[in-house]
Amino acid sequence: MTFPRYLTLRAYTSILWLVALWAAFHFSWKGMVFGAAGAGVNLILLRFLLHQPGLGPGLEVEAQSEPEVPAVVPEPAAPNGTGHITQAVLPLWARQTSNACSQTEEAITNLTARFAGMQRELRQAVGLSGMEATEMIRKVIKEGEASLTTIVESLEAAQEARGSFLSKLEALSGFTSELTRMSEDVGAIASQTNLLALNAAIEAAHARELGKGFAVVASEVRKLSDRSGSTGEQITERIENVAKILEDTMRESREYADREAAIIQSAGFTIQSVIWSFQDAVDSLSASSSRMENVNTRVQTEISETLVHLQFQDRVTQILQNVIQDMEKLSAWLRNPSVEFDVDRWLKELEMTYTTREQHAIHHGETAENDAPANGASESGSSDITFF
Amino acid sequence: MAKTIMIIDDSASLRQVVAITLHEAGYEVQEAIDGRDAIAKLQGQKVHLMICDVNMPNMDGITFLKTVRTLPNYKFTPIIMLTTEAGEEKKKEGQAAGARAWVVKPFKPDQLLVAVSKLVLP
Repeated sequence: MTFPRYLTLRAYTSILWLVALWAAFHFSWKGMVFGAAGAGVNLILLRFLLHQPGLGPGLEVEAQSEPEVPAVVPEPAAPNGTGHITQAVLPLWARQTSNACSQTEEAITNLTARFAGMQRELRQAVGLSGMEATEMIRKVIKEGEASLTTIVESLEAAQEARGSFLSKLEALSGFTSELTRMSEDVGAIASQTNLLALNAAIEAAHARELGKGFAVVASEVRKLSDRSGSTGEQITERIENVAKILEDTMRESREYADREAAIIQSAGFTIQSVIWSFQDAVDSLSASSSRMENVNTRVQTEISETLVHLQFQDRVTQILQNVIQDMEKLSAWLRNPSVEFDVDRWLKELEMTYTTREQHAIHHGETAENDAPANGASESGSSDITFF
Repeated sequence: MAKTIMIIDDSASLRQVVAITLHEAGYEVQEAIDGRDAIAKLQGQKVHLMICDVNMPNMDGITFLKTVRTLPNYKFTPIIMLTTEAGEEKKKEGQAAGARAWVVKPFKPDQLLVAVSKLVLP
């Protein structure tokens, strides 16, 4: 950058000297004086420019020697010279850069810890509300459905048993009608027997003295037929009572069975409805959980990538450390410039401190292709690993 | 029982990233800030693998490698160099000093874990 400027100044000064000589030949002493004065002013300007900050002792020495000679002799440190300024400024630069490195390191360490914490928490969150939990709920619901269905089936079995009991009661009711008929038959037989006993008593009366014994028998038969008739009536009455009770029992049982059937049916519907509601809820939970899990996985991947990218700090620190070391080296040399400043040697030694490919590239004036995470491991998908 | 891995790096953030990666994979982690610190911490410890930077203050990675190979308990402990150094010369130097693998930063955590699982002592 400074080389062309240096050349321009040298050429400018040389041209002015040539102009002065040409004027001396063509315009006598006036032209010569004019040309020499112009050249003198320009020489002063040249020295002034070369002492400006930013041009440095190296350039000043270049201006005094031939540009193609790399070895230069340092200017003695003048109280207000460039050497003095750089001696004061370089250590400051080094310290400021070092401080920036420390602050970045601290900040990146904190960032890394926070990102890692976020990643850990996300992983734990997935563990709690993930698909496994949903599957567990699904399993519980299925087991619940099976248990409740078993209960409904037991109730239905009980209902069937009650139906069978009712059928038996109905059969029993049929028997009571038969019994009523039989008791009516008993009453009719008793009535016939009574009539026979009456006829026997009449016939005994016709036989007078001889029929006395027969009259007693006929009287007893009559009494027996009366008792039989009375017992038949009692049996009929009892059978009617039993039949009535049976009828009431059957009616109540039928009503109860109907109510029970309705309750069981309703319970079945309710159970099914609750199970479906649970299943809907689980499906919805599962979908939401699946979405959450996808988002979570994406965020975790992003954090993982971020953690890789945060490694840039280590590379930046390495590069800045090299710069700091070189600043300190230059500062030390400026304090004690006893040896010659050999630019080539200095640059070689600086290059030997480099660790990254981009440092070497920059050193040789090439475009730096960073190995940093943005262009390195994360994009190419593989780290540079060598096994020995 | 979890294997113990020592990370030797002067960068706290890098140590943290490596430690997190290893913790997640179920390894115990020991940290040292440079070669000298590592040599001091290795006394009386059982370490199954080491991951070491190259450029560090006090004792650099290559010197650490040479030093640790003189310790009877760590003569054959696998050491992975994790560094920004990508030059072949440095790699050869590391290999000659006893490194088992050379990983250039930045590294992908899963690939570092593959290298670790390949080399870690049973």
